Amino acid sequence: MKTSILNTILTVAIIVLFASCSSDDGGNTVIAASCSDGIQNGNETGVDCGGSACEPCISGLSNILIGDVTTDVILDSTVAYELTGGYVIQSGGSLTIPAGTVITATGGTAAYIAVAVGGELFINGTAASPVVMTSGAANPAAGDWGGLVICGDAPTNKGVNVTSEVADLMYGGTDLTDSSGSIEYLRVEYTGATFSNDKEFNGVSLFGVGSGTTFNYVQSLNGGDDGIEFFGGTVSGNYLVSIGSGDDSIDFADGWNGNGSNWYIKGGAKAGIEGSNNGDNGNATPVTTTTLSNISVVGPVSEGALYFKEGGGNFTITNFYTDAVNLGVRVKDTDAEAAVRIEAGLLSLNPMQFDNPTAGWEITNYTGANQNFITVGPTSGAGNGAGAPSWASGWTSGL
Amino acid sequence: MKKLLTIIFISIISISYAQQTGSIVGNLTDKEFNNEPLPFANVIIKGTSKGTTSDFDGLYAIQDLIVGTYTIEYSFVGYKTVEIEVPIEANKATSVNVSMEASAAALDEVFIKTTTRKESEVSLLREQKKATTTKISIGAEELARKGASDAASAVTKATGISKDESSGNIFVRGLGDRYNITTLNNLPLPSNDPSKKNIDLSIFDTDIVESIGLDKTYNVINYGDFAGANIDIVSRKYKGKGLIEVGIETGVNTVTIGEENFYLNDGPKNTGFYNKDYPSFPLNNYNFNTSWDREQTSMPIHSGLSLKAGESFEIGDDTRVYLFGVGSFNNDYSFREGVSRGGVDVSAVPNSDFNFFNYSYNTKTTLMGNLGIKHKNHRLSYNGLYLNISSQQQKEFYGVIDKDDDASEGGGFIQRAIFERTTLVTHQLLGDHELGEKFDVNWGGSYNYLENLTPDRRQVTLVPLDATMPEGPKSFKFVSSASDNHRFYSELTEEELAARLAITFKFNKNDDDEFKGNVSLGYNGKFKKVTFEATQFNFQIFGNIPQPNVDPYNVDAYFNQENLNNGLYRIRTFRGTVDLPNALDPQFYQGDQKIHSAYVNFEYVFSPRFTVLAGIRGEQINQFIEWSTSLNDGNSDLDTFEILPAISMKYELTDTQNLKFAASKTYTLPQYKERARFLFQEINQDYFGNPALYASTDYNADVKWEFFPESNEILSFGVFGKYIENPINSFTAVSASNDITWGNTGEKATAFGGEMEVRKSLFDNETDTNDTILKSSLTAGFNLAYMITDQDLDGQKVIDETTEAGVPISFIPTYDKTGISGASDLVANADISYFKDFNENKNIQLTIAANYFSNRIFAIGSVGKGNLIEKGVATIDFIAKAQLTENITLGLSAKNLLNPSIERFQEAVDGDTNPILTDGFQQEDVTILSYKKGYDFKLSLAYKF
Repeated sequence: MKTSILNTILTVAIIVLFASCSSDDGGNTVIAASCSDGIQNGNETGVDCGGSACEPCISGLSNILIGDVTTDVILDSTVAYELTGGYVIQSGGSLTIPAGTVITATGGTAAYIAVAVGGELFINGTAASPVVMTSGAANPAAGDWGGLVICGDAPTNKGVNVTSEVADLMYGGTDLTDSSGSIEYLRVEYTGATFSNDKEFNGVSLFGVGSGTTFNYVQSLNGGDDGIEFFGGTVSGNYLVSIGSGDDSIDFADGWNGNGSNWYIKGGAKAGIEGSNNGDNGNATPVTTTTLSNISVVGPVSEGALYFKEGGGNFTITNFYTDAVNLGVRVKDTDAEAAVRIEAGLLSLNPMQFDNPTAGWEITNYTGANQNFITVGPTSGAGNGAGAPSWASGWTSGL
Repeated sequence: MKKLLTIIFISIISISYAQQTGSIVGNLTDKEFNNEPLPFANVIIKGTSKGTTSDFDGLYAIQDLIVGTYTIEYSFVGYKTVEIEVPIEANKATSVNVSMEASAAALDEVFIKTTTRKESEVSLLREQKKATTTKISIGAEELARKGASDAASAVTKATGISKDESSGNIFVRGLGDRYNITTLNNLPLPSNDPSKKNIDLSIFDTDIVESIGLDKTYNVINYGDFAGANIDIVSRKYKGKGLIEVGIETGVNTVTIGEENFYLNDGPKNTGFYNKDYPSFPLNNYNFNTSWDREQTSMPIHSGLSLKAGESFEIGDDTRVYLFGVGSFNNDYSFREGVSRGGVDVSAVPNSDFNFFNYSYNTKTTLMGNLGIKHKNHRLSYNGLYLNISSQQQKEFYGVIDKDDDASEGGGFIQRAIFERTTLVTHQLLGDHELGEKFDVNWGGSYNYLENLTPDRRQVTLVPLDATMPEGPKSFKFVSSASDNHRFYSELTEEELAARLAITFKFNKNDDDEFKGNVSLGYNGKFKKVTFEATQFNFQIFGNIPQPNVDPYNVDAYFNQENLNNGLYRIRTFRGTVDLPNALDPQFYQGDQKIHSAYVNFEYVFSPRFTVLAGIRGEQINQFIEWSTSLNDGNSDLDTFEILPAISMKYELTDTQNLKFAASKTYTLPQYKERARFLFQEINQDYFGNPALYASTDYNADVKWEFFPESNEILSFGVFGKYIENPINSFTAVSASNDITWGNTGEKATAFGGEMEVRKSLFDNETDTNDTILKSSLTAGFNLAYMITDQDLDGQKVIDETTEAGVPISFIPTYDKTGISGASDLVANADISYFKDFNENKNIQLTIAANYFSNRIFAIGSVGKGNLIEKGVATIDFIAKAQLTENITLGLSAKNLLNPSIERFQEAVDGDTNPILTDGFQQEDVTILSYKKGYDFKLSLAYKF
């Protein structure tokens, strides 16, 4: 008896020992990054250089955009730039991108260009030679890289010092006329890398950007999430194009107090324009307030040509042309704050035209008493109805 | 409850009317064995049935003897019986030490009925009485009686301790996971969950536990990362004669068994030993070979099998060897059905609103062996532990995914197929050497290896093609994000080496030849390496092209090679598609934690009634972490040196009453996960770490009065206070994505409270028959803790500290001041148990145990939204155990008899609110989680050879 128990226990001990020796052979083992494997991995900042383990990257690789911009940097339009990580214009720094510059990005969520509060970005494209930021993949697709993120010091109803959805920057203050630089004739393509449902890059995200900033002639092409989105701020956006967005085409929220004119929207998956006040509190202040004019939305859309969402706001929209949509203005029936604003006459669309409405078409799904906030009538929208407007020729793609 | 209170009231009254009594205490030693302590010897008052047995250290005590002279009979198998006349004086303890010698007599002399081991309630209570600190121990006997099948339910039987059902977290006086430490034989144990500090105590079956020590005050011999409790699991040792025991068990849960169709998913095996790598070339083609869809499975009936063996024997004259081994396998099924909501806004409208169904199958395999050798004054032992626990889950959510977007009118479907497996291997070597009379050297070393695998987690998200027709056809077309449909593979490994060494020097003998003082010098070190790697394959759907309708239960028909070829979707990681050479590099975080510490501890008996234990400890802590994740790459170093003083004092008011005081300074470290820039994705919520987190500083004070009317009775009252500087809390960062993160959210948190415990023997009869003593007893216990907690919340502090560290995080708390997360105002436990012997080998034990905790904060509210509150619940369990023959024991338990609904809600805002919030506050409560666990029935059978 004694020896058999001893045997049992020794067996147990041996199994325990054995298990501990063999327990590291399972799992999805992936070979560790090394400084000589010919690819950028681990926390390297370039191929086999930078990061915690490898030698620093040689500065001669000047076409690689990564890291912080803290001085005044001017790019060269003849250089084929590659964006391989976060490229952040910090407070006090500025980045000037001349007309014709093309930046190709790889790296999914890691690759983006961001402007911190106090930093400035000058994109000096022209109609003939815009600045292009696009995917570096052989077969480009939406979501190949992050996008352009601009953070400013203007108010948002999320509060003061808010964390940006992406790029880990702070934004939001009290400076209504804050300037983050000037952006003209820019095309961003295949943006929208995804972290999660709530955390995605838009083509261009404007967080609390102030009215001192110029933001005209900007196109998002085939972005994975929204094309262009304003999160609070006071900047205005004119001559904007959003084509083939995976979510909403142009979105504004969180107490945006800017205006817009000449927006051309086509082929987005969800709403043409999404305008909201605040997802946590439909009454948050400042309330999103805007005057928009000369808009074209070419459907189909799945959430309306305009989605008046999360309390909506005070929107005055003139010359809103739609083509091939099944719904003009969408309002959730549970959105009490949005209904209050519509009943108070704070949303108006005049005129709004519906060309080629699709099956089940409705002007709006709003069922409240005020059914007169939309005035149907003819308009050329962004200039040419469903067709590409003349101001978009030359610098845009995919229209 | 009322009845129980009455019983307790009566018991307290009866204590105060007790007669003038005294007690007898002493120490039994083994003359045949170098005068080592003689455990398990019988000490009986001749002519009565009153008596006891000596404990493992040879100590015994008989309390409450009415003044007079008694003949005490000391006996032990194979030893000469000794009779001594002893006078008992009022309120005094008479000390009688006996050295017993072997007799040539036959071994039929004494039958030891109650084998008192170290795990007996009586001996542990005696230890508690003797100790200068307020440490309490719960032994295997008490655990079995109260039906605690594992260490987690065991510690919740102690005063002021409660458990969070959904997370398994233990709260000690309202202080959660981060404030507690779990050790095995006083050596560190890793957590099985990357997000936690402490291992899930429910992993430890009481089979492998000798006792659980619970110290709510700080002693400098322990690591200083402490403010709630130090939980030490003492692994079982076997000191008796040869034992082989086989056990089987089976059980059902009423909710589970009531479910007609029980579903799991493709992959894992029944044993819980499973792993799955992602296929080669996962981005080029559809190469995954496990199904996305649920599978119906067999009847959900729990089962378990265990084998225990133990032996102890002597080699030569001076050496004794102890051996114990246990191997077991258990499995169980569970089913939850309920409501889950998320993102409740200030208008009390939830953003997501689901009915959920969660099927799970869990296994646990345990192997433990230990070997002890005692040679003269040297003890050496080895403990080996191997654990494999697995959980396979099929989670299904139906409803509104986003009230303004995906499935806005309902009809959304989210499914997760999960298999998670944790393997833990621990080797420990422990030594204790008495060098002469005055020196004692105590050391230990351990190696821990932990692996936590989540292979092939599959998530599917489908939304109605037409949002206004929730019951209409579903499609992937309008799913918002590429990560909504994914396969995820992760691996966490932790390797830890730990060592401890203590040298104790005793000095200044008193008249009774006992040392009045001792001083200990010690070193502790632990060195841990953590590596977490994850690869997620996102199935990116192209929403701008026509997409087919998809049956939620036949997703395999969509995610296949044909649809990939047709360009309906694309497979990518966070880094990119197949076009990117490093797309398959995993996201990771890894780090080293090094802690060196040294202490000096001084204990002195200033008067026979007054003992002081004072010490100081220094700890050098370095926590380094680096990461490369979808969020960014980086690293962060936390370096701190902590000086930690502690003092404990005991004043013996009488022989049966102690007054104890303790005060200390300690710290609380942030966890790795909390400092890593990794986005952990749950169905309704994402989390990421804050590298700017740093340690909190804790100040603790306790006062406790204890009264031990009988050897198995206690009455105690205590008050405590905690002051925590820079406490760490989780909160929702203010951003468009509403992710949860962690921060040092305020200047201070405070907790004050009172605790009471009573354990009373209501009757305790012994009947002497011809060959044995038959016992019957009824005991009741009750404990209660009431506390008031408060903490400041300061959003600007978080913004400033994180901005300075280069990782700005925004926090706008709803409240200026609120309670501490996890702290219930009231926590109470009660139990009553009846024991009866029918004959020498036949007995029955019946216990009813109850537990209650009041509402507590689950998470702190922000931007006008209320706190998330976990609703208080009461539970009642019934446990019966019957020994039928010498070999067979039968157990029956019926747990969760009240079957309360487990609920969490976001509360309407009421209290000191943050003045910068002017746009309104949440006005109504909203339930965000609700389900019932059902009744659990279990039947077990053990056969002892």
